[in-house]
Amino acid sequence: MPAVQTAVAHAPPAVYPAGFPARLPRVTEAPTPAAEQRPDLRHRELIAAIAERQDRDAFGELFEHFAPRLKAYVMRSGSDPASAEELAQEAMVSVWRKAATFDPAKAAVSTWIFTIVRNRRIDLARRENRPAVDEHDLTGEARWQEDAFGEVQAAQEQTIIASAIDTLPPEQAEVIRKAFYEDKSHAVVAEELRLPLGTVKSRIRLALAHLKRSVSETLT
Amino acid sequence: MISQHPGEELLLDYVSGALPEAASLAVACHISLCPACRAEAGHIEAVGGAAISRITPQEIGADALAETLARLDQADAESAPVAEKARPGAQEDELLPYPLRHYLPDRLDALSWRKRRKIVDTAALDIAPAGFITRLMRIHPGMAVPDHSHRGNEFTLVLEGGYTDGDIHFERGDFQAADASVDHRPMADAEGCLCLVVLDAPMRLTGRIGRLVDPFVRL
Repeated sequence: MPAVQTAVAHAPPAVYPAGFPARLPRVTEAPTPAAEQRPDLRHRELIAAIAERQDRDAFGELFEHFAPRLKAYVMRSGSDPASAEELAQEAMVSVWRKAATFDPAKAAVSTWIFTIVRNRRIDLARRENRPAVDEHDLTGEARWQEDAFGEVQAAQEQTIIASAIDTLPPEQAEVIRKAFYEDKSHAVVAEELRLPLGTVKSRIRLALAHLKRSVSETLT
Repeated sequence: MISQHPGEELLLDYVSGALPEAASLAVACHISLCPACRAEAGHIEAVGGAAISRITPQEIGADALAETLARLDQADAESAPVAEKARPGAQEDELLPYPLRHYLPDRLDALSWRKRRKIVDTAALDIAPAGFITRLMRIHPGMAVPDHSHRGNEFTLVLEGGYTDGDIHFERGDFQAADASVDHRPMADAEGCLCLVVLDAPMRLTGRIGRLVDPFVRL
């Protein structure tokens, strides 16, 4: 890929600098899906380069992009900066080791890396495993019929969601933010906000439905 | 046909990582058997991906990349990505969702089953965190678990057979979440029922007889 495009791909996401909106959604012009996909397409190339030829330069580029974000992500749930950086490094080592298992038809690179850092965080913070579903599951009736979800759609889904979050009503954005950035269960969120459990459940359902609708409206 | 699901809020807790291991197991087993919830969990993971991609980055140490590159050599020296433990030959494998197999011996009858008057047999599984009670429960054909409520939450996943609770029939793959407000009496189908049951606090028998035997019969 030409150097110019690389620079574009790694420009910081200037439109949404602050993570999930804390209060009011920003009014912004949504970038076109094609432009939004570009960082992920570059990340895919990097993952492929690592998987195919243990390309350390590719790893370096991926690291420069993700490690600072993973550190920030882990710090949001209460980690001190040093431990958060340690965890970010460990997660990136896992990215290196597991690069060959990344399936671009299933998820965006950031989504895949999210699952890695999440599992590492659970392991470290709670000394627990995370029971995971395996697609090679032998239980016959549940053989996965994958959604007709190509690589492009998988990349787009995540980027559409990332911008659709800004269009969520604040009280819905809040429950999603607390789930992912503060590592809180919906029951804990209800307690903290002094809301009935049912209210939090319905906010979560509305938020997820809204995000899913944004994806299906954009992709069809 | 699966008709009872954990609901988006539990799927969100599972995906975000907020759900403790024992409760995660029940949700993961359901997802193993339910393509719809698996797809939903995938969508929610994409929200997690968005959380990573949108976050304001934190500065990292100048040596962080060099340190990590040095670790890669160690990572390479270790064995390749850990292959999943295979459990060959166990007859029950088709019955048992993949996430559950890691917690079980080769054969279900190798678990220590506590049998109770041909009503219900239970076998405790050793799963974190402390305070959770995770067990397999076999309700004998046509039998009902005595009336009970819970001090906390109870998650039930049907593995084989089925049961009826109130107006709802639960069969393989169905997921039931009952909180402290639910007082129920699941009754097994004619062929009996095998479930995974996860409690985050001991249950409490509420029927007249149940109250009498509660201290002795801790289901």
